[in-house]
Amino acid sequence: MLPDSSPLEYKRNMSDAGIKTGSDECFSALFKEYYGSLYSYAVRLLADETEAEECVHNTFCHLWDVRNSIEIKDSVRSYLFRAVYNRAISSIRQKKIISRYEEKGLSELYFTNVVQTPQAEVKLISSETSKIIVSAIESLPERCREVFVGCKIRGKSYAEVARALEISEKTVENQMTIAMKKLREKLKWLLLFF
Amino acid sequence: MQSDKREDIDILLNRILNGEADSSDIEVFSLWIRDPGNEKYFEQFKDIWHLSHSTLPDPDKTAKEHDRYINYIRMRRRRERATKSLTRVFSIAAVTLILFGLYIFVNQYVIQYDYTNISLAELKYNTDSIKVVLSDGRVINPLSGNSFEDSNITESGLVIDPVNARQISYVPGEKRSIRKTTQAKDGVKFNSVSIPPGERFVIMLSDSTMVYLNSNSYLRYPVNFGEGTRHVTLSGRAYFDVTKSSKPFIVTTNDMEVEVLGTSFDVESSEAAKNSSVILVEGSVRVTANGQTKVISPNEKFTLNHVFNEVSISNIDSKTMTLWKDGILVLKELSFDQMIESLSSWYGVEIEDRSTVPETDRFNGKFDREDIKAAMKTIALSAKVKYKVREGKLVIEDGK
Repeated sequence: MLPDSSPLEYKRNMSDAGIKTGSDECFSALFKEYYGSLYSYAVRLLADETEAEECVHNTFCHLWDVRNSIEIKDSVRSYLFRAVYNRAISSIRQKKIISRYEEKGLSELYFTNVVQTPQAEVKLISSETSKIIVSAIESLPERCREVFVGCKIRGKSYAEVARALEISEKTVENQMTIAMKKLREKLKWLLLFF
Repeated sequence: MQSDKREDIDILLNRILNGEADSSDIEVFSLWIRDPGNEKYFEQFKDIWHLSHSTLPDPDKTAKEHDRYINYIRMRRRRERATKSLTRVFSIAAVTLILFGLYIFVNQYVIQYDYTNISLAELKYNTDSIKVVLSDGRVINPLSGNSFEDSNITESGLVIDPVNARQISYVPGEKRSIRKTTQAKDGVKFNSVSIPPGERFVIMLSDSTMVYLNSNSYLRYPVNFGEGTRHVTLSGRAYFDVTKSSKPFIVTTNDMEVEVLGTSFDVESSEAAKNSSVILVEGSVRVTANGQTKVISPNEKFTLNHVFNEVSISNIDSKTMTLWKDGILVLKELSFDQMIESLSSWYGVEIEDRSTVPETDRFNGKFDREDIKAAMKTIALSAKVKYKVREGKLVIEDGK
């Protein structure tokens, strides 16, 4: 089932209509609905909480300022994620990290593969996949989960994880194998990754 | 699946997504991802990464930001109503409020908003004095008027301008009957000057270099430049008109080193500020900051941003941006907070800002030194705020 089915559709139309009126209630509701996920997205784009806060604040302010002239063709949600992305991109271009891609003529690679596009973000957070993955990881036995999170998510080497958890590297390797096996059973369709 | 290889790749992919990848990581990654299987792996890896790095704001922050947003909306709505009659002057869509040229409209609005009755008579101006610290540690105040009558307390070579007490100069050592041997034994003697809020000061150094010091600034310099480089230390803001010489002139601040041979430039650096900067009027200067050295040309501004620890160079009108040395305060593209801070320092008054002028509004303005009253009228009008004096402080509040 697609996430954008009837209940959300209804809410979306309501918000769109409310934008033109500019009522406090409508904008307050929009803010409450989307602030958390937009902020989370902006933090990952910008790798800076303060910048992310300003980015999202300014996005919402701008929406109010242009409420009379704006034409939202898809949904307010897609518009907001896109707006946060566009705002963030202009400051990303100033950052050191992008210059390392530019030096090698690889800025294209950064923008197509590395950066989380607003489309991908919206798809990810509204998909069932996200819930399934999170719950699958959460259901791993404790030690197993610690090892998995350390290696896969925090990007540590087996040796580092072994040291942090005060276990042997061999144990880390074994726990990783167990974690992978369990996850593969739960997430059959994510065959490649697991 | 070889766990070793996967382990290494996972570490690399994490570095890429964290933004920590260096040039060689990027190169390895760009080759690795050409393989369609790897690209697919990366897509899924990226999903997991984003899901697990999602930091939702805590409820307090959300509530705070929500209120800030609603305040913004109310403020804007109020302003839209209030500015309808002023649409000829203001372009509301472009958030920028322009103060230039607004004086014409001040009078009619002053009556309407009744700013004429606001008395600034009780406003307390800063009473700290300009301090010159001599090489033996004694402190003099050039404005007190009697410091140079008592010849015992002056530094040899130090002259306070008889017409303008806000100016001192140092007569070069060779022209004085100072025995060079004594000087060599003593080493170089240093003086320093501290300028409080609301004041400015001019020093002519022993090589005839002119230094204009802005409020809230400090300069340490030798009474007599020796044989080597000419070296001074600055905190705050100063405009230098350096006398040409083969000996380099170096300004050191907390975070930068500015080197020239002979030229005019402006340096600003204070520990509390977000940015440090160098503005070049003529000649050329070399700025070293943050491990990088840049040469800037006239009408360029070098900026060191402390938040991102980055340097940048932009084009500006250097004559306008250094008008402060002639007693004219120029504000360009400042937020309301930044503008209030500049005014407080310039006029030497304490300002308490209780208003909710949006962060995103930008202000431009040009004010002369004599009176804060004219400046406040213009600001109250364009930012839609009220002001009053309470316990010697200027208090700014939202308009009605």
